[in-house]
Amino acid sequence: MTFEKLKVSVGVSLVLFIFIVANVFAFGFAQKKYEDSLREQQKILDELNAAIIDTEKTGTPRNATENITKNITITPSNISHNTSEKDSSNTKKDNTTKSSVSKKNESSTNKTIIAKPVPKQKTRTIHITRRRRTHAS
Amino acid sequence: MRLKTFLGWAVILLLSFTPAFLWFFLGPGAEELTSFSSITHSLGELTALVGMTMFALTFMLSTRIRFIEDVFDGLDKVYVAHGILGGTAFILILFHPILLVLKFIPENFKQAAIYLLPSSHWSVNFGIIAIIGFIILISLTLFSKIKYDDWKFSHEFLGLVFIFAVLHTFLVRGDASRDLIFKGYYAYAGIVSTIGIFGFSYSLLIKDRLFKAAKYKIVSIKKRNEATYEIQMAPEHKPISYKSGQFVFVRFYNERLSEEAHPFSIASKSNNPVIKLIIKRLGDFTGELLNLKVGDYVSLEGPYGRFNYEDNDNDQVWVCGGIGVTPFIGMAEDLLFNHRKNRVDFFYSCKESSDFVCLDELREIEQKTSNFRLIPWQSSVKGHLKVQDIIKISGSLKNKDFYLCGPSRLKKSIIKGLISFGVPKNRIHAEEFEFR
Repeated sequence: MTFEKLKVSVGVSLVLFIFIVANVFAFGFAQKKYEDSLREQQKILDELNAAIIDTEKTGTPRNATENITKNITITPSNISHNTSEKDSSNTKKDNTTKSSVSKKNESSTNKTIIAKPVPKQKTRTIHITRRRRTHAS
Repeated sequence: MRLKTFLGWAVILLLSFTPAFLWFFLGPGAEELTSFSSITHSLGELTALVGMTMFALTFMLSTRIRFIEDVFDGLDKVYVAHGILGGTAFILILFHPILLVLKFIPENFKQAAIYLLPSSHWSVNFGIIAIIGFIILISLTLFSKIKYDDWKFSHEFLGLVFIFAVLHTFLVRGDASRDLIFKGYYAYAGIVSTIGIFGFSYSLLIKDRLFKAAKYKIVSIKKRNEATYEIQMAPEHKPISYKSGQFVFVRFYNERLSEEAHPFSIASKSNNPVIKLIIKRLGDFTGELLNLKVGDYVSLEGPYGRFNYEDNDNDQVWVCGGIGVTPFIGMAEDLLFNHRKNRVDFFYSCKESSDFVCLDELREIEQKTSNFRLIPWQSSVKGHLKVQDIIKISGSLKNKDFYLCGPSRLKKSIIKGLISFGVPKNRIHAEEFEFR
C-alpha cells in the first residue's frame, strides 16, 4: 500500500465517521425533541384530566394551566365524556385541535378518565365539547 | 516484497490479529453472531482490540531499534510499516464506536447519540478523549502542511492518546470484561499496552540518554547548484561505521536551526571517516540549512537502511531521479576500491542539465573503472526514463538486479515496467526515502 492510498483510505474513513456521527446526533436530537413534545402533551392531558375530575366534583370552573404554559379553563360545559376509544374520534375536530379526552368503561360510580396523547400537537387551543353518550360499553 | 520484509509483516499481522483469533476460535466466536446487534457489537469490540494492538506496535516500530530494522530489512521499510499500521489502527478504532452504536439504530437514535457523548463514566470518557485526540493528530500528519518540527512535536502526543485508549480498554465495562476469553485477552492487552508505552517512552525519553550520538564537526560546505549543497563532517571522537547507501539522522547545533534530528543519505564511500551529505532545499528545514557554517557541531544517529549493492554478484542497473542520487554517489566511489567483477549501469535522471550534481566525480569514476557506466538522462530532452530505454542501453533484464532511489513517480513507473517485463520482485531494491 502506498502512502497516497493510505491517505485516501484514512480520509474516506474519517469522512464516513463524521457523517455517521453527525447523523446519529441529528436523528438523536430530533427524537429527543419529539419525546419532549410528547411528554409536554402528556403533562397537558394529565392536567386536563385532573381539572375535569375536579370540575365535575365541585361544579366550578378551574384553571387547568397551573403547571403548563397553555391557557385552558375547564368549565362543566366543555367536558366531553366518550364511552369508547372509537367515540373519542367523534370529538369535534378541526385543524387546530389534536387532543381528545376519552373515557372508558364509564359507570356512575367509577369514572376512569384516560388521557390519550396524539403524536403531534400543532396548536395550543383545545376545544372540548360536551356530548351525549350514544351507547354504554 | 523481500523475504525479510515479509517476515516483519508476518510478525506484525500475527500479533495484531491474535485477539481476533482468540475471540473466534476459543471464545464465543461465530455462535455469538446470531442477530444484527450482536454482530455489530462483536465487530465493534474486535475492531478495538485489533486496532489497539496495531496502535501499540506502531510505537515499537518508531523506536529505530536494530532488531526491528533487521526484521524488516531496513529502517525505511520499518517506517513504511509504521505508517500503514498506524493508518489501519486509526481506521479500525474509528469504526469501534460506530459499530457499537449500530445496535441502537434505527429504534433508538437518542440512546445512540447519548452513547457517543461524554458522561459521568470516566472509563468511556477516556475512550472519547482518545478518539478525538487520534483524529486531530492523524489529520495533522496526513492532511496538513505544517513545519516538520511542529508535526514531530504534535506526533509525540500520540503517546498520550495511547494512554487514554489503554485506560479506556481496561476500565470500560463491556462484554470483553465479562467474557472469560477476553479476561485472557486482558493479559494479552496488558502485554501489548506495555509494549506500546515502552515504545514511545523509549523514543521520547530513554533513547537519547542511553545511546550517545556520534559527535561530528562541519569541515566544509560547498554549493553544488542553485538548490543543492554538500556538507562534509569530520568526527570529533570515534567515527561511525557504515556502508555506502545507508542514511543517518542528523542533528545540527546551530542557533538558527531546530535541534530536531533529520534523516539524510550518506554520500561517502563505506566507512570513510569524513561523512559527506548532499542536501537539496526541498522543505522548511532544508531551506534553513543555508545558515550552517564551518565549525558547527553535528550529532549523527545511525547508520540505518539496507540499501546496499554488495548483497549480490549479478550485473546491476542503478536508477535514480534528482536528489535520489545521494546513496549512489558513495556506492560508485566504493567501486574504485572493491574491484567487483559485475557490471553496473547507472541511469541518473534529472529534468534539466542544471539539476545534475556530482556529475564530474561520477564521470571520473567511470573512466577509472571498466565495469561502471554512467548514463545521465535529461528528461526535458529525452522524456521520462522508461524500462524500454533501460533495455535499449543495457540489454536484457535477465539476471540483473535493480536499485532505485528517487521521486515516487519515477520509482513506481520503473518498478511497474520491470515487473511487466518479468523481473522478479526480489531483484528490485528500492529505497523508500519519502517516509523518513
